[in-house]
This record gives sequence, C-alpha cells and structure tokens, in this order.
Amino acid sequence: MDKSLSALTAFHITGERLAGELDDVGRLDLRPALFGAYRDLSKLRHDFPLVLVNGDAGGGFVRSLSGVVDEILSDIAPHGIAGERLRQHVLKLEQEARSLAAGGEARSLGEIWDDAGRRLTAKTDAAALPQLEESLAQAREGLRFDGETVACDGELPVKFVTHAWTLDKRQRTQRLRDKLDDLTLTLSNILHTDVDNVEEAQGAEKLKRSMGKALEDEFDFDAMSRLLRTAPTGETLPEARRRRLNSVLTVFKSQRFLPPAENSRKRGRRKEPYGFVFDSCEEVLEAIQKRRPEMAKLVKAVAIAELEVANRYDESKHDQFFSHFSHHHLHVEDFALFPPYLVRLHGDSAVAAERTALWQVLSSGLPIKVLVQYDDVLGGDMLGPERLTANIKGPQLAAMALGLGNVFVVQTSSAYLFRLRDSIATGLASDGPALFSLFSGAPPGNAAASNNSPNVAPYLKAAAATESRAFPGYVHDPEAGGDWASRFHLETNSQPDADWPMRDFHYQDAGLQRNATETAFTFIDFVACDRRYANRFARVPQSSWHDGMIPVKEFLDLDAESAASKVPYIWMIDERDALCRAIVEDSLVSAARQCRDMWHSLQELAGINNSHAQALLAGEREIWQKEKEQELEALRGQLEAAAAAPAAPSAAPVAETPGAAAVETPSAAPAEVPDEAVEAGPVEEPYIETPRCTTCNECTELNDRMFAYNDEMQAYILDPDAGSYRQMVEAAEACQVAIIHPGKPRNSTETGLSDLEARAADFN
Amino acid sequence: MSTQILDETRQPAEDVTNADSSASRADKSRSASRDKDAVILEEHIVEVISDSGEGAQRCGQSFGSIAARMGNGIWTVEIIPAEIQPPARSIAGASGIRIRLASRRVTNGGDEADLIVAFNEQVLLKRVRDNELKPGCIVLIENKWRHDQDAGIAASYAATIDKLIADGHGVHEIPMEEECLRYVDNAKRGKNMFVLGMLSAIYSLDLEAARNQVAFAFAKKSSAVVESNIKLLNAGHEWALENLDMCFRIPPSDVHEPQIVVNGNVSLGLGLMASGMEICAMYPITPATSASHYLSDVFHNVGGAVHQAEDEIAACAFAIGASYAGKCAATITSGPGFALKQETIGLAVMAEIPLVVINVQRGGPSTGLPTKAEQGDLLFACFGGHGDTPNVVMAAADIEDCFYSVIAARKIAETFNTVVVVLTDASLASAQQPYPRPKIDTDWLAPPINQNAVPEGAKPYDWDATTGLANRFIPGQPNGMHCLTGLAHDRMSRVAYEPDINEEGMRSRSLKLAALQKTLKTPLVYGGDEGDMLIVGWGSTKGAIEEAVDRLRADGHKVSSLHLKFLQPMASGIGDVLKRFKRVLTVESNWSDSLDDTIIDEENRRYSELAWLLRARYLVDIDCWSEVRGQPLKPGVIATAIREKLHQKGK
Amino acid sequence: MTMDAAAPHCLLGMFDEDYTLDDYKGAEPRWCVGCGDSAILAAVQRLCRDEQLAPEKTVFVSGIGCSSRFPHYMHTYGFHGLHGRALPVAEGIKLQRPDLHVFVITGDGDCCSIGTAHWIHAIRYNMDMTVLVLDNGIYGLTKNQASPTSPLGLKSNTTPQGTVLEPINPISVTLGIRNASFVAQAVDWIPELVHDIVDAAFQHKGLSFVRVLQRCPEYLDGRYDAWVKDPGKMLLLNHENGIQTSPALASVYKNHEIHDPADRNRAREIASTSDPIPVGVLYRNQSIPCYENPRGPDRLYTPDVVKGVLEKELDRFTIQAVGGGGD
Repeated sequence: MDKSLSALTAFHITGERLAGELDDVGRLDLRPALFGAYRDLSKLRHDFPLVLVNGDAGGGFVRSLSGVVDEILSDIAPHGIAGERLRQHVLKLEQEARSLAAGGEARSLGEIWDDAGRRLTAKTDAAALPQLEESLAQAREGLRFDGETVACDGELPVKFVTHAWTLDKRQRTQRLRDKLDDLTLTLSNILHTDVDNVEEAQGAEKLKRSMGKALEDEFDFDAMSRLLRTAPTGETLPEARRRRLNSVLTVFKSQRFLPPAENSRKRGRRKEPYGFVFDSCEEVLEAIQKRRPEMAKLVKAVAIAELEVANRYDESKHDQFFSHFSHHHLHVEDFALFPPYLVRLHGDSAVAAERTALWQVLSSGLPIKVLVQYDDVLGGDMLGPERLTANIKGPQLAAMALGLGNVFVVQTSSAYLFRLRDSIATGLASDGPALFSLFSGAPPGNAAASNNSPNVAPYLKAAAATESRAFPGYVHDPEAGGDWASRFHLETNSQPDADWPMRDFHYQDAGLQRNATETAFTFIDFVACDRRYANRFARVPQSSWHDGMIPVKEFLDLDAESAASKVPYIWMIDERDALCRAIVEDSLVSAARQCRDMWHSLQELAGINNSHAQALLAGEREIWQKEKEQELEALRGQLEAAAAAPAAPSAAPVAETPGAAAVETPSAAPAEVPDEAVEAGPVEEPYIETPRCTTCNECTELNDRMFAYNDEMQAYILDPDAGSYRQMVEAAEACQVAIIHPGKPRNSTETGLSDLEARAADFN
Repeated sequence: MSTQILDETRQPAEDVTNADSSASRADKSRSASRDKDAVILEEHIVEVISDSGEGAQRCGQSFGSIAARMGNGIWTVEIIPAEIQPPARSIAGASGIRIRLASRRVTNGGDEADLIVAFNEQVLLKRVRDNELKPGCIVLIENKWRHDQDAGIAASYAATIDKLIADGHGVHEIPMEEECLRYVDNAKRGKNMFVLGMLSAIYSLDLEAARNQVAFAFAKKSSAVVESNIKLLNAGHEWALENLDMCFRIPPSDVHEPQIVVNGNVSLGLGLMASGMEICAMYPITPATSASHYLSDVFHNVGGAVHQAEDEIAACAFAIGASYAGKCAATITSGPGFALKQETIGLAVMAEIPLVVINVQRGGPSTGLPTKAEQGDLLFACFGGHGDTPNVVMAAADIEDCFYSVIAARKIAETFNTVVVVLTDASLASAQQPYPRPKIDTDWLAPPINQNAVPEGAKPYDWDATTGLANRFIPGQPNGMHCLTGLAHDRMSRVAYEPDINEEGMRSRSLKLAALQKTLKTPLVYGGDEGDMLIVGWGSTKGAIEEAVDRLRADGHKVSSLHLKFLQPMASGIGDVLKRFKRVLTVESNWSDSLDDTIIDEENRRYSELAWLLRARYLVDIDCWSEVRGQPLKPGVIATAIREKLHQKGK
Repeated sequence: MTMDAAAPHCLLGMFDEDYTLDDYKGAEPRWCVGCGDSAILAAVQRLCRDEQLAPEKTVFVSGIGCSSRFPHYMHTYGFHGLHGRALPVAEGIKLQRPDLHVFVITGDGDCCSIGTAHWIHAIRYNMDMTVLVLDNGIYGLTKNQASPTSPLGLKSNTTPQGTVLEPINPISVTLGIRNASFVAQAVDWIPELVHDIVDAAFQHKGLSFVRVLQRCPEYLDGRYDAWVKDPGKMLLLNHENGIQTSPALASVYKNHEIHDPADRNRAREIASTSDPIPVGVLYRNQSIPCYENPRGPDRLYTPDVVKGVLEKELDRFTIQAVGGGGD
C-alpha cells in the first residue's frame, strides 16, 4: 500500500485525518454532485406546488400546478404560432405562480394565479401587453376549479392526507346520509300507508281536505266517509311492527355519526356530532370504545329497516336475534357504514409514546387511518456507527406494519406523494386500517437537527431519501391479490430492479473536456446532504487522487478481501459547482450495506429478484412445455385416425349427456346408462337427454307414470316399466327434439316387438 | 271629461314642468294630473291584434297581469290563427288577444270589444267580419300603411279606415313604427311594448308596475333586451299622454288575497303536481300540449316525469303501466288522441287500474278545428268504450277548476280504482283568469306506494258486494302476485268465461260508479230555486251562462242556471231541480239540429250532448241551444238566445 | 379489541330461504302439446330460480296471443294486457318502479305487426327490461293467419294461395335502430341456450331484445324440422362477452362462430342469415344510456319537499293586488 493511499485508508477506517488536505466537508458546504441540476427549484417544472382541489371538480382531489397548466394549454392553445405564443405566456405565468407559492402562506390557486398574472403584466412592456393579457384571460377562463396550494414543506403530509381523508369522509357521510334518508322515507311511507287504511283517513274532514277547495261543494263528505268505511280497507299495521318502525326512526334521528343536515331546523337541540380526527391512537381507541353501543344501535336499526323495506322481517326469526344484538356483536365490516377515523402522529417521539396503542390500531382491522410524519430519517445524536442504521425509523414502523398482513401501507417521501395520490385515496377508502408513513424532507422541529441540511430544499431532501433507498417508497394493498407480488409495489422508486439508481453524470474536467459517466445515488449520497455527518467525509484534492479510490457503489459490490485495498468515494460539488471527490468513513459504508439489505428484502416482497418465484416460474414453464408436446402428439394421432375412418354420423348421441342427466335427477336411476354402453353402440336401457328437453309435454301426455319432469322442468324416464315398449317408442317418435332413446324392450312378451324394435332403431 | 274620485292630497300639476327629471316622479305626477280627467268605467274589453309573431299576445298578457296587479278582475282569451306561419297582413293571420278587465271578478271573455289596437287593417278586418267590435269601438291602428309604397296596400288601408269611421267607430291612426324607430332599429319586435305603454296610459295603470311586468316577462332574456323594451314601454306611455285625448280608470275590485294568474293548461299542470301524481304520458296534440310544456319544465322538481310517447295509444298504455305499478298516473290529450286511447281506457276500467285522462277538447270530428274551442266529446267520454266501460267524467268550469279537478280526479281514481276523464277545452287552455292562490295541503298528494305484504289468501279482486270496491295489489307486495288481465276474470284475477263470473265483474265495476254517485251533492242552482227556465251547462261555459242569467234576471226574467261538474255519474237531486222549472234548456258548444231547418222536427232532431244525456236519464223534455263557431260562447249571445226561447214560448 | 362475532348481515342472510322452481310456477299451462312456448317458460322459470328473483319484485308483461298467456303461468306479478301494447305498459311500470324486474313476453304478431311502433320506440328508449319475442311465424290464437314473420309462400286461412310478402326479420330491424343495446336470438329446441341467452339478456343493463324461434305444432308443424333434426344447421355464436356454450352442447352442435357482440356490422350479417340459424348474442353495447335514469335525481320527494316546490311554483304566478289602483 503506497503512502498516499494509506492516508485515505486511515480516514476510511478510523476517521482520522492524517493528511492536512483531507478536508471536513462540513466546512466546505459540499453537496452530492447529482444535486447540481437542482439549484433553483422554482425554475424547474416539477410536481410542486400542489393544489388541493375544492369539491369534486373531476381530475382528482389533488393536482400539480404543471399538470393543471398542461391541461389548460391542451384545451385552449391551438396549433401553430398563435398557440405557441399562448403557451409561452402561460408557462411564464406558471413560473411566477410557482415562486409565489413557495412563499409558504396558505393561499388558493386562484389568488396565486391572479397575483402571478399581475406580476407578469407589470414586467411586460406596453407593446407586448395586449397579447399577454389576452393569453392570460384565456388561461384564466380555462381554470375551472380552485383549491389551496401547498408547497413541499413540513405541513404537506398532514394537509395532503387530511384533504384526501376529508373527501373520502364526505363521500361516506353522504352515503350514510342517503341510506338513512332513504330508509327513513320508506319507513315513514309504510307508516303513512297504514294511516290511509285506518279510520281517520276516511273521516269526512280528512276526505274534504284531500279534495281541494273548488270541488268541496260537489261532495257530501259524510256520505263518502260512511261509504268508504263499509268498503274493504287494507290491513292495518300490527302494533309490534309499528313500534319497531318507530323505534328505528328514533335511532336514525338521534344518531350522532352524521352532522345535522343543512336544512335541519332544530340544530340547537341535538347533541354534538362525533368527531373523527385524532392526534393519538389511545384517544381514537377510547372514542371508538365509547361509541360502540351507539354504533351497534344504528347498525341494528339499519338492519331492521332494510329487512322491513324488503318485507323480509320475520318476527319468529329476527326478534330474538335483534333483542340480543349489542355492541359485542359488532363486526369489523359494520364499520364500513360509518365515517373512517384519522389519527395524525408526528415523528419518532409520538410513535414511541404510543407504541402499544398504535399496534392495537393497526391490528384491529378497523378503518382507522394513521398518518405518521417523519422529518428526520437518520436520527440526530450520532455516537457510534451502529446507531445510524438503528435510527432509520420510518422504514422500520412501516415494515412492521407490513408484517401484520392486513394493513394498507403507503410509505413515501413528500417528493413522491403526488405520484402516490391514488394509492393514498385507495388506502383511505379501504375498509381496514391504513398506515401512511411519510417523510417530509423539511427541517425537523428540534433545534439540534434543524440545521442539518441548510442548503438543501425539503423537496430535494425528500427525493434524495427515497432515491437513496434510505426511505424507500412502497404501497401494500392487502386487497389487491393473493400473493405479495400483486399486493406490494415498489414502482414509485427509480429503477426498482437495481440496488441503487444509476444516473447519467456529465461534467467538464480541468481541460474543459466534456465527460459523461454513470454514477449511483446511494445511501451515502443521502447522508452526505446531512451536516451532522459531515465529519464522516473527507474531500480529497485532485492532486491526491489515487487509483485505489473507487465509487461507493463499486466498493459495496466488492468482497471483503478485494475491498481491503480500496477506499470508497462519492462525487460532490461545492457552491460554484466545482466537482470533487469525498471519501467515506467505514461506519457509513456498513450503514449503506444494511440499507441495501433491507432494500433487497423489499425487492423480494415485490417479486423482484425473488428466488422463490424464480424457481416456481421455471417449474411452471417445464410443465407447460410438456403439456404442449402431449397435445401436439394427440393432434397428430387424431389426424391419422380421421384419415383412416369414415365420417361420423352428424347426430350421434352424446357421451356426457346421459350421465349428466342422472346426476341431476337421482330418481332417474333406472335410466342411467354406463358411459361405456353408450360408446359401445346401440343402447339397451331407455334414456332421455334431459338437458335438451323442451318441456313440450308430448311424452308426459302419453304416459305420465313413465315420463316425468325433474326439478328443472325437463323430462326423464320415471319408470320404464310403467308402460309398454310401444309407448316408449311412440314417445321417442313424438318427441319434438328426438332426445328419447327407447333402448331394448324390457318385456319380451309384448306383441309386435320386432316392428317396434325396428322403429326404435332410429332413436337408439 | 270628469271624475267622481278626486284626490285632494295630490301635488299640483305644475311640478311636471320643473327641472325635476326623475322619471318616476314625472310619471306619477303626470298620471296624477291625467287621473283627474279619467273616465271611471265598470269594465272594458280590449283587443290587441297583429300578424302572428308581432307579440300582440305578450302585450295583452302583460296588460292583463298589470291590471290584475292593480286589483282588476281580468279574463284573457287568445286569438289564435289556424296556421303556424300565416302570411303577413292577411285576414286569416289575425293573431292576438282579448283582455276583459273590470272592477269585479270576470268569469268569461264577454261580448264585443270596446277598444281595439291593430297593427294593420287586414287583421282588424278579421275582427270586424266576426262582429267583434262594439258599436262606437275605439280603434287604434298603425298608420304607416297609409303611405305604403304598394299602392294597393295604401288604398286598402285608407278604404278600411273610411269604412270604420263611417260605421261610427272612433279611429285613431297612430305612428307606432315611426315612434318605435326612434328607440330601436327593428320596430317589428318591440311595437307591442309601445302599445303596452299606450294602453297603460289610457287605462291609468301604474307605470312602475308595468315596468316590473316587462322585466318579469323578459326575465329569461338579457338585460339589454329588458332595457330596450322598457324604453319602448315608456315611449308608448309618453306618446299616449301627449297625443291621445282619452283616459279611463277601472277601479279595483275588493279582492285582496293573493291571486295566481295562469292559463287553464298551466293550471292543469300545477294541479297534476299538487295531486301527487308523478308521471304524465302524452303525445303532442293541440290544444293539450302546452300543459305538458309547462310540466316538462318543472315536473322533475317533485320527482315527476313527462313521457312523450310514440303515439297516443302508447301514452295511455304507459300511464296505465305506471299506475299499475304505483301511484296513479295521468295522460293528457285532445279529441283525436282521446279516440285512440279508448281501447286502453277500456283495459284500465276492466282491470280496475286508477288512471286520470285529461281531454282538452277541440273542434271535431276528425282533425276538425285543432286550435278552436268545442265541447264535443261529452258523450264520447261517457260512452266511448266498447262493451260496458263505466268511467268517471268530470268537467272543469274555469281556470281554478282545472287545478282542483285534477286533484279530485286523482283522489277518485285511486279511491275507486277506475278511470277518471277530466274534460276541459281550448277556450280554457289558453285563457287566463286570476284565482285565489291555492293553499297547498299535503293531503292532496297521492299516498306512498303500498309495499306491505298482502294477507295470506287475500284476493286481488275481492269485490265488496255493496260498493263494488276492492283493494288493489301493487307489484312489490309479497303474497299479492297475480296476473292482471283484460279478459273477463274472477276474484283471483284468473281468466274466467263463466256467465256468473262475468256478470259479477260487470256488476262490481258498475257499482263503483253508483257508490261515487252516492257521495255527490246536488249542485247549487244559480239564480232562483224555481222559475220559467233553467239553463243547464257544463264545462267552460259557466261564466258566460251565469252572466247571461244575471242580465236576464236584471230584466225581470225568471231564469236560473245549473252547472254540472260531474257528468258521469251525475249527482242525485238533479231530476228534482229540473222539475222545479217550467222549461229546461241546455246551453253548450257542440252541434245540435235547429228546428228552423226544414227537415228537422222533434222526431229526427239531434240534440246537443248534455241534452241527450239529461233527456235519457231524467225523462224531461229538455230543449237545447248550442253554437259551434269555434270560439267561447258570449254572454250576450246566450242572453239573446234565451230571450228568443222565452219569446217563442210566449207565442 | 377483538371483533370476531358475526356481523348481523351474515346471520340475517342465513334466515333467507332459497326460491325453488315451484315458487315461480303459476297456473297450469294450457298450450298445445308440443308447443315451443313450454320450453321457454321452463327456461325462464329456471332463470328466475337461478337469479333468485323475488317473485313479488318481478313483473311479466304481455300482449295478446298464444305466447302472451305466459304471465298467467308465472307466480310473479303479471300483466296480460292489450294486443300489441305490452311494451308501453312495461315502460310505464319501469319508469314508475326501477326496482322491479320487468320482462316482456310478446309474439311475432304482437310485436312486429300491431305493436310495431312500440317495438321500434322501446328499442330507442332502451329501458332496463328483458323482451322475449316468441316468434312462431303464425297467428295461433286467432287460428292460422299469416304473420309478418311467416315464410314466403305460406298457406294460411288469410293466404290460401300462399303469402306473397317477404317476412320481416325482427333482429335485423332491431339492429338497424341506433339505440339497440342487446340483440340475441334463441331457438326453443335448445332450451339450455334459451336459458343462457335470457340470462345474458337479464344481466344486461338496458333493453335486451331476444327473439326466440319457436315451433307451432298446430299451424306450422315441421317449419323447423330440418334444423331440429340436423344440429349442423345451427350456428352457435360464442364469445366471452356473449354466451359460452357448454361442452356437452358443443359436442352436439358443432357449428360455432366466435362472434364479438361489440361488432355490429358482423351482427347484421349474421342476423340476415336464416340457414344455418344463428343462435347467441348478436349485439351488445353497455354504454347506451337508459331512459329511466333521467328521472329522480338524488333527492327524496317527501310531502314537505313537494309542498316546497309547489309553493315556489305558485310564487312565480302570484300577484298581490295593490288595491289602490293607480298609486
């Protein structure tokens, strides 16, 4: 080992900076080289800011600004020069809007849009102004919805998930309200119908009211009342049923799971409706526990109402069942009737404090949706290398939730939240628990960690966390299929097949030569954006570069022996985008290795490089090939046989049919004919191809003890001895679809047998 | 001119000339100043006549509404040309409206016009030929034709004016178009608002109310349209004040409760909704269709639907299907369509399915007079079915009745499980008359569809021996499954050809009419309880007949009238009423032979429809007077006819 | 929190009893012995049983004719109305009560002659119902008159010299109407397919038009003998979006075509062939809107709501007399 390498190796292994030129990157304000392209995010067309769409404007509950702009342009911008100008104007507007939205204040898209328009016009000279204004007016016209804009910051996860949850809740609430309204009306109608049947309805006063003013003088309502009372009236409701209906209606009216309807007049008198958003798992469990008796009441009332509406309530069966029904009988499925619960937890401490309750929530099977937001993936207090991996908190919780099997899990960082919007919505809409493990990328609240990456935007930080597999994104939908590969998806990560995503990397060397290479974005690159770990890196001046320095990715791929003579480095850049290499301490390398191992297990779950699946696949392929070969063989044989034998008669009896008939009609046992007999040639026993029977009554008219209909109203031979062979043959002849096969005579003493047998031959 | 009503508190008129240019202030002061000269009238009949498309009807309806708002009783009658786009300036093309306004409730269109506004002399001639002008009628006519480039037109105009003057009418030639062109580019549209302004001035109507009415009438149009129309209204008003030396005032009636102003067809539509019916099936036919237009606009708001079927038969079958499966449904039609529906109506009677059939009668037979009024379907409505088809027949006597008849019809149809035919006619269809705003009662609404289980063993036609009534089973009711059929059937709805069963079914269906009849009260006689002559009428002629009776009684004749709303069954006690009068005469708008015709005598005379019906039932020698001129009967004409009848007797 | 007790819905489901074929049998059929109607009745009863249709929620509507007696033989609600008018009655029922299962049973005379206008327009309305045309090519109930689908040259009581008019092809006509959403053909002598096709028709949301060719042993005996006797003269249309013939049946009826019911042009070609007789779903389009959907938006029309609407309507026409006259 030469001298220059040994200095590097020493740093790598011990963290000692033996040579003065190994600079601590923390003081140099370096960042991973691949960040070079993302200095000013407001110039970049990316997902952010997002718009949380008000109401149901179509196109989803959340939209990206650039998506909105693209859609408007595709609607309004014509092809050609005019369209191009319009496009340019609107794209400028988008840029203004993006930088305005980064301001942090919560504002609606409409406000920002208009502000951006004003800014843009202020900047534009008078000559170009009319055209710009026209474009802007057109674009504004095209903007058909509004909603709050959100940037990629610390508030994003809560706002995003809460917004999606609110929409889902609104739908479910509406569903429940519709259901209750509908049932209420129908039950009231039943009670009302009854009123029409009772005596008051036929009272003179009521009759008079029901006719209307102009014809009042035409009728003698007393006479009408007398007359109608003598005429037959409908049945009145039994008292028990009336009470039951009324008590159901009372439950519907007093329930607290829905906010009072907007047109409800007696708002003040009702109890406060229940809330469904919580900041602690313990509280949500407690609330549900308290509400269960009320839930049970409502579930029961709905069940009774539905039975009543369908006229299926049977007191002898249902009374007992419902009298025993209490909240102990509530089933997980019953929760689908109610709005879903949302719990919002922030950071490690909240998770730690609630470990037990959180676990209970996730394993309850109930529609409780848990949002856990992380601002710090790596953890703060770095004392030793082993602590680093242990502190990768987010992935741990979500991975454990995966282990429960029936939890809907979405993990992602803010940067990819928009792309996973549909999965978030699916998770919220699912009937079971869901966990949304989200990394914000924003500076954490506590002061110690808040300064950890001052020069990296939350969006980049979040993207880097996922890109580097430090906080991999995934979706687990327990309803999506029978195996892990169909339930579990890693697609949100770049290059999910690879250990690390590989990126093209262009730079100019000292000789101003353009160079292109590929470089991986690894866990270590992610750690490199975090100031707290700056001392684990050392910048190596170009003069000290050594052949033993290899990129981290390659280093990680080496076995221990080969690695011994190498030192891993990553590319970094400084403020002026000057490129440098930073070598890495071994503690980080082992952390990266562990991160990669975790990633591998996720890949296996998703069916990527899955050893088990690969073996299975190979086996299946072999079986398939064998089958194909056999089929081919069989075909060859058939072709040869066909060439040899004469053509088969077109209306040959069907091999399967007699058997099938016998199975469906056990009483037709005498008619059963062994399969071989059919195939062997003319039949001995009489039978009917029952499934082809057209129920035309010919045979049953002839002799209904011999022929009968089965449960499907199709004929079979009930008793071949219940009549003569002559009748059997005549039935065969009369049968419209010629499915009666008379077989051989069963009684040899019958007269004219030879003639009959000749006639029967056509049908056997 | 003088006036009996002097308002001492009014400001002196000199304000007007001052600089105060506030329009309303000026209007008010000016009309106040004119008001003192206004002639106080009991009533007036005004007509506005134009080529079709010139907006005379809108003008007249607005005029009527303003007058109604001012507290006058009104009745408007549309004057409809037979063709959709008749040529301009043609006698056949006369299109317009009559507005009768009075200081009491008005029940019919009255006799001849007191004042007529014409947009050209040809359409005016039509009214002259029809004898619709009162002697000395005030005529306001567009004068632009006098100088028309077409010498023929100019000559025709001049000749007409000369003749009118010679006949003693008060002709005022008015530069309508010339005036309008000062405000708008196209006077063809908008002249009507100028006329409305003139009429408002002539009849001392509140200009502010007129402006509101114009804004309401054009509510669906842009504000520019409203503005330009109001400008023309103001102009017409101004012009009349400046140039016309006439001013009338018809004091308000003492009605103070809120009224609604609708025509008969809209009234039917409102009644349909108020009855709780939810389905109305129809096929386009004049003059019934406009009821469906109104319904189509609003029916969905109460969960209802208008179904425009492929033909009249389908419309009725559709309504029957809907009724069978739930709440009673309705179908609206007119004579020819009603004929096509007869087979299906028979089915509904046979199967005892409630159904409301509204027949807005028109002139017949065949295509007849599609836009004109006639009461020709009475016997057909009672006896139109093949075999014995006892169905109920009602007739609406006025616009208000159109509303309430439908509510009653629904109730009767569902109570008695039968078909109720409601007869109105073309003269009610488009006539407007204010009536007290209905106080909606949810008891009018059809009850919810019964879906409760039918008791085990109950029969779908378990006819009550006395009333013939049975409960109806509706699909969805457990245990109620049966196959309804138009064939003769027994109580289980099984097809049965046995003689006894057939007679039992016939009897039961017939008994239901008898049962309904037992609930009907003898209608009140209008006039005196007994006397020389009783006029019997039905349907839309009520107002005209009663007005005629009033006039005759004022002259000392012992004449009374009886108006029937139920024609089948007929209330008990009618026979007794008939006997209290020396003579009975029906007055109707359908054909009857005249004994003046040489070959007509008592043995071959064909009577008008109600007369046939009453003669058959009450064995009373009932005479009839009828007219089939396609227009509403006039009280004056009726009074004259009765006078003649009384006179004949005297001979 | 353990929640393993059963939900009430599961338990309640256990209380429901299954309907059997007998639950759908009404009056004893009185069709001629050998009549194809019987096969169709049995197939439809099997369908009701298989779909477990609540008898009280099911309505069979018919017109007049042999086939129109069908509703009497079902133990459901039935409406045996007027000649030719079954369809408008059924439409009224469906508009009033979208919750009911509506079947229309009609014949060649009922549907294609006296009721032609209703047939064409029923296809246009595309209301959700199943229409079976039991087409035997003859007027049977009125005793042997030529019908619009009688074969050319048929001698009958009204055409003793033989008919001179080409018959109408009901499925070709139906396919010619733009709104047609389901068109199928079955034959009574393959009852399994009658069942399967009617099932597909029943599942279809919209008006499903099924023509069932049917033998009349009384007046048109032997009309279809050639096809009954020779399964090779039948053409079975198979498709995953139509029906799939069972292996047993496929081994008897070997003449198959894979026909995608989305292909209207091919459907028209198939419809126009009469030999072999095509059997199966010719055309199906789920995207055609149903007429009954426009009614009743998501509101509950309680008496109070209706009253509110009416008050609003009356407001439109109300005048309050100002009384003073001129002020």
